[in-house]
Amino acid sequence: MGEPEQDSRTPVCMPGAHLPNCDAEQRASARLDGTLPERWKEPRGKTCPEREECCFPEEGGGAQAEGLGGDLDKGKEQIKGVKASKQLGAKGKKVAKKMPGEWRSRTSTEGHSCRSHWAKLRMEAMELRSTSPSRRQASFEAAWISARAHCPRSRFRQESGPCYLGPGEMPQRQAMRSQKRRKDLRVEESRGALRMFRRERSIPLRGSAAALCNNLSVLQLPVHNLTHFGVVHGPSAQLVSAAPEGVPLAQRQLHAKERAGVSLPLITQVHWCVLPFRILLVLTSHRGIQMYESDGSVMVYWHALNSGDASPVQAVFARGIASSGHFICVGTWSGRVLVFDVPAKGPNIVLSEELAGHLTSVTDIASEHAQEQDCIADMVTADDSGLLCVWRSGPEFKLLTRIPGFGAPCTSVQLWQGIVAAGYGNGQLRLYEASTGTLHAQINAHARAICALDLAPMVGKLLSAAEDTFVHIWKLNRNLKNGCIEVEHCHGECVPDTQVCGARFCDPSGSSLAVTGYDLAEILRFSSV
Amino acid sequence: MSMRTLPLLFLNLGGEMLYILDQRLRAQNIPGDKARRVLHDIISTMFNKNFIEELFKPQELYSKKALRTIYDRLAHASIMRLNQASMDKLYDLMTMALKYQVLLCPRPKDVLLVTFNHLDAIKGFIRDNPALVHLVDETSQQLIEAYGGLSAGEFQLIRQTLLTFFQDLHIRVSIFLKDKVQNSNGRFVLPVSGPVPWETEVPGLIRMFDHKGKEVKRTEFRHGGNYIAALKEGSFELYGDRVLKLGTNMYSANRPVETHTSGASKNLASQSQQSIAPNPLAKEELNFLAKLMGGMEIRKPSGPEPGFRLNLFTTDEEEEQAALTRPEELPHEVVNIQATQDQQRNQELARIMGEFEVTDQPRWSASKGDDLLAMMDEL
Repeated sequence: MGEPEQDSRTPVCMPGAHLPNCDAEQRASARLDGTLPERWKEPRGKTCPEREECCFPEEGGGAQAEGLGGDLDKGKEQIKGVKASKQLGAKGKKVAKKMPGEWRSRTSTEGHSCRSHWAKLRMEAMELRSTSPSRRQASFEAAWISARAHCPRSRFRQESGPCYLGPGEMPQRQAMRSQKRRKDLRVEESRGALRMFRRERSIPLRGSAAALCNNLSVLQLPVHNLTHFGVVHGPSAQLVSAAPEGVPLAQRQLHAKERAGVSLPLITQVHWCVLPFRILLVLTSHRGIQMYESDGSVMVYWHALNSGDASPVQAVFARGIASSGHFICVGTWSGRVLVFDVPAKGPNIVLSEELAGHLTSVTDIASEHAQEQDCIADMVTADDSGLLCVWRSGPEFKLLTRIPGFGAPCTSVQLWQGIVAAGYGNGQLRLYEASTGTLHAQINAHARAICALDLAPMVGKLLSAAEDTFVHIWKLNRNLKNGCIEVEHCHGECVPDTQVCGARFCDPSGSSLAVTGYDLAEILRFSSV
Repeated sequence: MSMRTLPLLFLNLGGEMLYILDQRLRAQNIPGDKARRVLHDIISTMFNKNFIEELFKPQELYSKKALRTIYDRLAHASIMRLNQASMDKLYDLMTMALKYQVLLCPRPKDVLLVTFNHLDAIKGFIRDNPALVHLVDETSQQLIEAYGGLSAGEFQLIRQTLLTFFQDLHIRVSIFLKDKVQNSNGRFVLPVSGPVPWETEVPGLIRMFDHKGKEVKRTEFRHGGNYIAALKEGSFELYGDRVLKLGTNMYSANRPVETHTSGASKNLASQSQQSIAPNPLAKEELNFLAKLMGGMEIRKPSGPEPGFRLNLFTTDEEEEQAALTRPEELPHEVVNIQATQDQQRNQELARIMGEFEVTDQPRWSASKGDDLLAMMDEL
């Protein structure tokens, strides 16, 4: 990016960084403890624009800018000096240049003195026509951060802290004068104030989401410009189709097939299975397995669970759905995995195999398309004891490796380029080599049970959501030199007061995601800024 | 879902009911001996051996209506009377309190600790009656046997089942609103700070290993919460420090407790689905209910001692007001068990109702005076 263009909306700048003749001492005073972190001296990837004035054009630039880092008295002097020279008219006004992408703030500071600037920010934030309080809050917070960054008044002065946040960074603690600001900042930080994701419009649901794991399935149909969402409510599952902007277009409810019993049978999971020639919607419940056409209109297959050898204490259900080639694999309460052979057309689906590998209830199954490599592990099954079984699909499935658990149930599992990503009930996320079963990474990712994992296979991003209200995004990659698996944290997002029960990426590049929460009658959508 | 949830649900809801009743009895200045008598009667009915045995049998969770019937009967097991509005409020408070406790449990196994907290408090109410304390201890023992050996995955299923039972309940409770654990829209505040559950690590650490299993890299990331390490594990024995505060009596500080039912927050669609349950299911449910309540011994209050009415609201006028403004969709008629012409009614239930009329079962009397009076009545 070349020279940033001019813009009347002013932005955020880094204290002292744009001053051409700002020496080390002045810059040092920009921080309370006298050191300027390395990264501020040279903005990452972009040159700091040469600017002659700061963010308060009417109060006159360069002199103003120095007051940024100065102390109280110096700042006052500047203001006094500056007020005297308030001669900039609309024509002669030099407007601060627009900063590169991620430094842009959302509020304009042009034409205001500091105090009225602050008041205006407040008003703007309050008048924002956003649909949700959290959006308003987000804008307000961003405005607050930017205001703090370059207001010369001692009350709001920010002695330290960058005005832009790179990926994975959080705003640093600043020496705040007022207790309230300190508390606000702590709340921001504790809530994951790293707003790299923007809340989009939520999709309303007719019933709230149930407290299950992996309780969201997304089918992207870029051809029709549609996205399908599937959420389990309890005895019913809801399918919603939405346009890209989140406008809901159609809704449908599916129910579990009933049989005599005390209460209505509950659905455990709903999932779209993408097969080579068709897409089927699979519903698992406490009675059996139902398969529908992808829009949920017609049931093509019903398989009743055999509870023959279950003890009365044992709950009977199916859980865990994945497609592998032209097979659909579904896990059951006993640990057996049922493999159904699906023809390219028609309802002639047959149960071809029952895989035995688990001794406790299956929780989740993941698969990926076989690559050109040989010895392809292309399916992973996980169960309540934390055991993972790695399979190779084919006319007969072959068990390749078993990865033992460590006491916590494995609630969700994903497979990408031979890397198994498993989320556990104690909040830990582990990465294994699928073919050998060696542990390559262990991440203390969450403080409560992980309830959903999803992958954006094109970019190698992993999404983890847990009952602790946090959603984290990780970047996986294989080190080509030594073949080790590496992982780094990209972003974290807090969904306040929501026990998340499902999360999925909404596009292959991983730039938007959808989240469901227990007792929440809407699908929350986020997209990266 | 899980077949082992009913005992936990019943004992915890029963515990909450006793907390609330105890607080109201004190608030309304009911004479000490009457109050004690009420609590003793309810606890002895709740922990009756046959009843507990039926309870612990593996079965699916009942619907909200059926469970409400049990608590109705339980609340009227003694000389105390509650009218409809008060009973509604009592049930609302009980369910919201338990929903809060289950939702905030750090790990699924801690629901057991919550149950132990309730049982410990119940033992506190009946401290002077060793027979009852023994009954409660036996129930605790049964709990330990039934749940002590379950895995974390099974506890997670139990927790999910309980949360399904409490889905779509957003009644605002003033004590929660005051303590800022509930928002004004009825949803609970989930804190992102504090100790992590036992057996969970504080989030923030990434460890990477090579092929041989040797640690090659260690990085940290900022997870956004403010967690500290777990302090210690609560005790799952008969006696011990439970560590967890959920499930303890939060009404012991004498403050008035109100509920506000906002009609909009009750999900009408799901409610109507429950109330129009098809006939065969209702019959099955009544069968199970009958078996369960067959084990419940309800003592008819002895002749000369009059019952008294307990009001869960602060004044009588409030109670009348609440009765009038109760939203229509609430099932204001609890399942009336009558041995009448209705074909669905179970034979067994009719027999039980018949039993209630004739007081020929051995009665455990509170005092010698009662016994004498009863004997005199029968003469």
